[in-house]
Amino acid sequence: MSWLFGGKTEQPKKEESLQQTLGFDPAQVSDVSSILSAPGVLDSARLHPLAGLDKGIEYLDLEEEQLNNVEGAQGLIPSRSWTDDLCYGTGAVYLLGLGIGGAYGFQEGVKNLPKNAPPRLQLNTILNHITKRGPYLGNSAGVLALTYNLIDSSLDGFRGKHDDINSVAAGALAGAIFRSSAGLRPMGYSTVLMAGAAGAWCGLKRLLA
Amino acid sequence: MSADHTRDPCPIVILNDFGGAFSMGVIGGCVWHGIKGFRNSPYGERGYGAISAIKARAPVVGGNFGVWGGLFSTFDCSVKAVRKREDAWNAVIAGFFTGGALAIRGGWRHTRNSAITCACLLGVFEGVGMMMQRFMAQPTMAPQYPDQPLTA
Amino acid sequence: MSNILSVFNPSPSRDLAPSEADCLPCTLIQSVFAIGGGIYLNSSLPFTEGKENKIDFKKHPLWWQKSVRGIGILLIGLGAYRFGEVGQIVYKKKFE
Repeated sequence: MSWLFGGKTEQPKKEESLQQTLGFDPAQVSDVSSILSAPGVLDSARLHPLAGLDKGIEYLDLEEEQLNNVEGAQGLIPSRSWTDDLCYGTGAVYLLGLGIGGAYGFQEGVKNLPKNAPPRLQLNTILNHITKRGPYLGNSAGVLALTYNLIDSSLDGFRGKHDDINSVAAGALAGAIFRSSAGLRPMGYSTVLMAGAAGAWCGLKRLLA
Repeated sequence: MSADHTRDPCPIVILNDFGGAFSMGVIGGCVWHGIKGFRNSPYGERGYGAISAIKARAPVVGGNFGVWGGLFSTFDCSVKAVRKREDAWNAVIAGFFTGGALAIRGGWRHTRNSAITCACLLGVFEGVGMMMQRFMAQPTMAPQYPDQPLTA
Repeated sequence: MSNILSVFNPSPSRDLAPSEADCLPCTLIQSVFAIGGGIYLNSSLPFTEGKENKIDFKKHPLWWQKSVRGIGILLIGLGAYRFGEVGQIVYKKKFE
């Protein structure tokens, strides 16, 4: 909102900051003696060359504190580097795949319930179906996300910025690599599908941000 | 965000660990099963053998690694929350539970051995990490000279 | 930060501050996880093998099955307790 209300608050803030750095208010200065007599100007504790050491060593955690500094790379979760992006993205997509696969397995299990069996056996059937479907889909989705994130980060580093073109291109490439040994047609399908998914994700991110 | 990583809420940390372990597993599985598939295939089909081995096995390796990492992280968080303390024992206890939980289908002997092995391994890792940290953080000590010259 | 990396690079041990202890998503995850784990341990899935759901009694003696189920029930209890804490945290956040 600073572009809206910035005009009014800018001026006093500037003067205040000037007063802070100089130790006196430049608007009230008439001669030198009034500067020297102002409290805090000639404070020996502040003028000492080793002043301010009690704050601790601040430069040490600069490196750590820095968030991802590629332009436009700030996503939903604060990420500190491309490895963070990789971990979060892969983990989230894997769990998503696991959940969808598990839900599919659940309805499959419910459909194939043995008739008039004890409830423990019924529970077992459902759990069996879930554990069969869930991890498989999760693994595939995780590998896709891993490839996508690796390519995306490389493109980011290569071009020096992060935008939607990168994401869509990375999605297409990841899809192509994922099905590259299955023949041209499945490869084309997965390419288009992954590019579309990457585009949809970009749109969703825009919507949420 | 602050530099204080320890304050990240648990679900995000679990997600991070899970994803990291999965990625490591997939990449390691690619290398491992690529070499294995390459060596176990007849001449002329070695490239194909490597790729098919990677396709079949690497995601599973990744999944296993990921499950281990995610489970460990979840246990670590839970133990931390229950004990309301953060120290080296958390990792050991979490390792014990993780090893046990993953081996539970193999029978009670397997579960016991796996849990104890996992806990010991994590204890060793933790100890080595602490030792390395202490070693790195130590200021370089000046050699101590005797106050008086030695009388020969 | 990750819990796995902090094994290799341990942070100094300390007690958690009370503000960290009532973290809503952590407690919720723990509750769901405990209940899910308890249900898993109470099904016969940990003991059965193959398609016919046979139980190998050499690998899984009866005392072992019973203790695993007991642990499962304990886990469900813990999950329910933590779920109550989730409710407490939500209530506190809403009415303060």
